[in-house]
Amino acid sequence: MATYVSAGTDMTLSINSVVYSEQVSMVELTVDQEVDTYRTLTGKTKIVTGTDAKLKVKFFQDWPGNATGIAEKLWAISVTGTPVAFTLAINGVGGATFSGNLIPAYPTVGGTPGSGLESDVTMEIVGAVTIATNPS
Amino acid sequence: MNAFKAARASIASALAGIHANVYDYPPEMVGTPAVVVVVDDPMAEPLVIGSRLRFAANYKLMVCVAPMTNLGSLEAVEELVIEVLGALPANVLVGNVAAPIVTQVGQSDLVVCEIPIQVQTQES
Repeated sequence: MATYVSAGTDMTLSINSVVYSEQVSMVELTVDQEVDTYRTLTGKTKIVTGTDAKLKVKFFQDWPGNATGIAEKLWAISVTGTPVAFTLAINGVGGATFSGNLIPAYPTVGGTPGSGLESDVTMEIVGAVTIATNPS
Repeated sequence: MNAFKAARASIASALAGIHANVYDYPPEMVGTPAVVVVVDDPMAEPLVIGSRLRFAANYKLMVCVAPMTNLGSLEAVEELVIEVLGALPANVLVGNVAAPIVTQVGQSDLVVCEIPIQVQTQES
């Protein structure tokens, strides 16, 4: 089989149909399984009862005044908390596109002197995450 | 003009008003007082997802003054560092300013102080 190695620079992230890759320094999708363990007279069994997905995004704070900035946009849509669509794509052969809906979270604001102002936001995902692969 | 050259030029342009010679590259001869833009290591760092051509470029500003009396050189370096820090634009990240040291440049000694900076840039 072929070896596929993708880099962070091969990713794109869109939230609410706007691509924010130019501002994003890290993005990570995690899907944890919720597992219940039952003990019976004959042993132990584990049953998956659901999943808990999160999207962690680290980005440079941007407030351009026209809602095109990811920080500004997240702040605006977090007021209602209404879930919005997201797409995380690992581009190229061997990559995949992950899609779902997330609950927007307020970005952190500020930082330290000597480094770029970044926000680190972890957003809860509502419903299932779908995957579409990029076959060769 | 490539992104690196543009970054160096923008730094030199921002420093044009200070009371020193400003070089956007290491010259063969340094006329003091001077600020020299020198490429730092690593030269460039990945900055964001989605593109290899958006990166952070690292430089050192070498603040150079001629050796005088100890106090004279120190005060000259202090004045020039303050000028440089005040002249750098808001989007330039400034690191810790190193202590001044005496360094031989060509045939002569100079009192030199390093200011590490980082500039976000992109190749169009």
